[in-house]
Amino acid sequence: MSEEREKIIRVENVTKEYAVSASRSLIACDNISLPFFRGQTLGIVGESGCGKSTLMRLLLGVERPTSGKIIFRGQNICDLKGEALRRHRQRIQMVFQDPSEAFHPKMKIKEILCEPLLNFRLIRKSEMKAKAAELLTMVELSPDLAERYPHALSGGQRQRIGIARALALEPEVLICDESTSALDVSVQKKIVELLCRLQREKDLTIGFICHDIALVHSCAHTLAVMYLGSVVELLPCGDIEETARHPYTKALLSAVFDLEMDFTKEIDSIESEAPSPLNRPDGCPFRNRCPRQKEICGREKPPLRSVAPDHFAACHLLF
Amino acid sequence: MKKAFAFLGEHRLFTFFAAMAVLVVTVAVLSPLIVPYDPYDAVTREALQPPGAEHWFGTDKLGRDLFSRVICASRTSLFSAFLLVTCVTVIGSALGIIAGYFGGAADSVIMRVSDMMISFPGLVLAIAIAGILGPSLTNAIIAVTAVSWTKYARLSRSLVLKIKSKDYVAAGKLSGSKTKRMLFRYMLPTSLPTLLITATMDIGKMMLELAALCFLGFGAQPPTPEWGLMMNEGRLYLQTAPWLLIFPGAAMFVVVVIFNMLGDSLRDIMDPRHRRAGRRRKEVKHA
Amino acid sequence: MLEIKKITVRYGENPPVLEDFSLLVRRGEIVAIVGESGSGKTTVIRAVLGNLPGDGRVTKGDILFEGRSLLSLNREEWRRLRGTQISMIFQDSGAMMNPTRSVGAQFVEYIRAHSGLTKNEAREKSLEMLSSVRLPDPERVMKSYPFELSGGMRQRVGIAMALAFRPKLLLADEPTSALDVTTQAQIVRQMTLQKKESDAAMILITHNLALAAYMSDHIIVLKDGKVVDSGSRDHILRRPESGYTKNLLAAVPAVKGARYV
Repeated sequence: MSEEREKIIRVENVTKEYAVSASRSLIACDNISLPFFRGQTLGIVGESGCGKSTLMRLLLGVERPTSGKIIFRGQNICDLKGEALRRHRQRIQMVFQDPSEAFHPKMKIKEILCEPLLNFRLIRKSEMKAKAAELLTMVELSPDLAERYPHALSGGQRQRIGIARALALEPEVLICDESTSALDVSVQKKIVELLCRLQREKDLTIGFICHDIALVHSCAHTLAVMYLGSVVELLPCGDIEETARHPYTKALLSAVFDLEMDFTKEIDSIESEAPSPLNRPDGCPFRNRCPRQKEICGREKPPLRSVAPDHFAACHLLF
Repeated sequence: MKKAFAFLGEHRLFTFFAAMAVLVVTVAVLSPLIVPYDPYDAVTREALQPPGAEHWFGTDKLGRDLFSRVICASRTSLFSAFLLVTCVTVIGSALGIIAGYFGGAADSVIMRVSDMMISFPGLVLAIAIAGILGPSLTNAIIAVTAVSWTKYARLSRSLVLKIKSKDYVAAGKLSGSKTKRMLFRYMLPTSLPTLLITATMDIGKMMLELAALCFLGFGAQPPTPEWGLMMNEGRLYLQTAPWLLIFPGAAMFVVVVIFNMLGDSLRDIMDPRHRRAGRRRKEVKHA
Repeated sequence: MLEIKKITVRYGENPPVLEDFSLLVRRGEIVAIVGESGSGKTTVIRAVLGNLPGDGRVTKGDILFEGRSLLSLNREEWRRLRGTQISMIFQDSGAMMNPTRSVGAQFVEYIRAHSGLTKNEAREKSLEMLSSVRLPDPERVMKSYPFELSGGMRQRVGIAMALAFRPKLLLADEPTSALDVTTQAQIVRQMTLQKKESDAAMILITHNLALAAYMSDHIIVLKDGKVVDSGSRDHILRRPESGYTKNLLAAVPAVKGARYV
């Protein structure tokens, strides 16, 4: 499948370091390479501190990587500045995590939705009302909401507004940063369904960042699992329970509570917690939590290697 | 209209002081029309008369009618104070918002300069500036502005920093808003209410500072009627003609209190924390 | 152990946030209350603990703890009950601690506030409790400040504190919602382990239906302050009565579950 699909974004060996003090630095992203295929969803899963949000900020051009390239349709977006960067933002947009923080509290829904279009002079002020109604209908909301303020809306409605705003510019890529985490389960499901419908209609590429592997699995084509700044596994998002190879991915899968699970069996979990990114172990980042670590794991950091077609994992134990 | 009345009815304190402030400003504007005598008209044979039916507040050493002078001085004092507060607020907030929003070098330069300004005793620096530029009301305003803008710069900077990391600001930027729009549509409106309240509360203080400079002879020059200056002129006659000191002082006191209370009540209305406390008091009363 | 009899909770004159709510927890049982935001699930716990905020009050019904009505207790009786016989595990135990004092100092103070133990005995007891929730190196944890511990460790400290006096009733309000997935599994395992060791009853508040199903004996589904379903795990999962529960069940993402792409 992936061979026919065009790679719209190529993240190539991207590293992002933050200087904490003169001698220490925090490596938020460590040599990450990822492809985004056009019209597909790349799900990025990981626990807090794994660098998934930093990766997103790099993709949006809010921050620059320490090294490496992000190629968007043949152009390295890490070099963009000023007006070129502003223009680039038309093509990649984002939906925020917390819908109660994502809107200017003193702007009406109509103004929020049309702000990007006015900024790029794509519509005139007189067309605002019609355009807002069109966008609201797209996300299955009543056009009457256009005159309201965001605080008068429910969480699910606000998140739909967030999606509508992000899609107003008809971007090619949409980044969703934990966009469903602050919502109730039933609302969450509807938002995911909406995203998938819009993806089919608009041939949208989606980067779906989330900590819930079960949810990502339900809506992504490819799944990238991140741990302490590295991608540890990249796999097609089919039958992941069977195909996942990396011990961390397996640990994530076994820690999921869902309704199909065996309620009589004790829940599986790896021990301890992820170390702070300031304090990464040498060699394999997952080493000190891994149930089967070997001597080589402490010496070398395992690279991402192919274990099956379209399936990559970074683990010494698999080879 | 009904809404406006309901609002005023709910906030009685604010309504009262706003009305008083309007009254004071009206008097100041219309002062040349209301006063019984020309404030500059010296009649030496009527010098230093005590208050009476002819001259309500008495006369000064040149025989000028003190009542007329006090009323006309409200114009000078009030408008120079307004001008001063406007200058300070605009300059201070603009610099503060720039420092907060852009950060980096702009922030360092602006904030270091403001640190320097703060480490001088304000009045002394103002005297120095007024001394260098020469004594006049305009120069006094420049001098006080130079030492007072830092407060607004700090305030607006901290307000900007507080909202800068919010998602909706990032969203605004990602929507392709240009810097100008970010500053005027996002940064300014969120910090404006607090800045305006502070400015209102500062009117009284600024008036006092200006009067102090005038009193010391670095502001308005005679024969301009100005409260600080008039008090200075009356200082020599403290024993024989105390009204020369009492009436300008009282006028200043009343006006400063009015504006301070106006600022206070305005803050009570705008600041949700104060508002909530007020409402709770009301509920208790009902119960 | 605890019986809630048809209580209705109101704030001021507003419509009730909880209506005709009944619940029965027996010794050693876990009852889960599942609902989305605004369903009134936290109100239940607050009503049981007698600290409804503002002008909230129980207008109808009764809450019985070991046969005694909790609604008529005075402040002193509450003080003796809270923390010792009834205790609580919060969503983020770290936020409940004073950030400027070490974990140990706060733990010791908590124990001494509820018992006549000396400082040293209280210290011994804290260490014992911390190791019972399998915190590695309890000595070091005692010396740490709350911000120096990870979310999972703080939650373990919270559990250790809640269990310090072998309470008869534990109230857990979203105890794992703020945690990472793998840590959540660890904490859940810890709580089930603790349940086996003691015969405390527990009320678990959660929005996670699957977690409720895994941990509890009885599940109550709340919506807008009303009970829409109540029954054993099997009953709720296989034969739910209300359409709301069915929707909720369908919305829980599963690794083996439906995919939209």
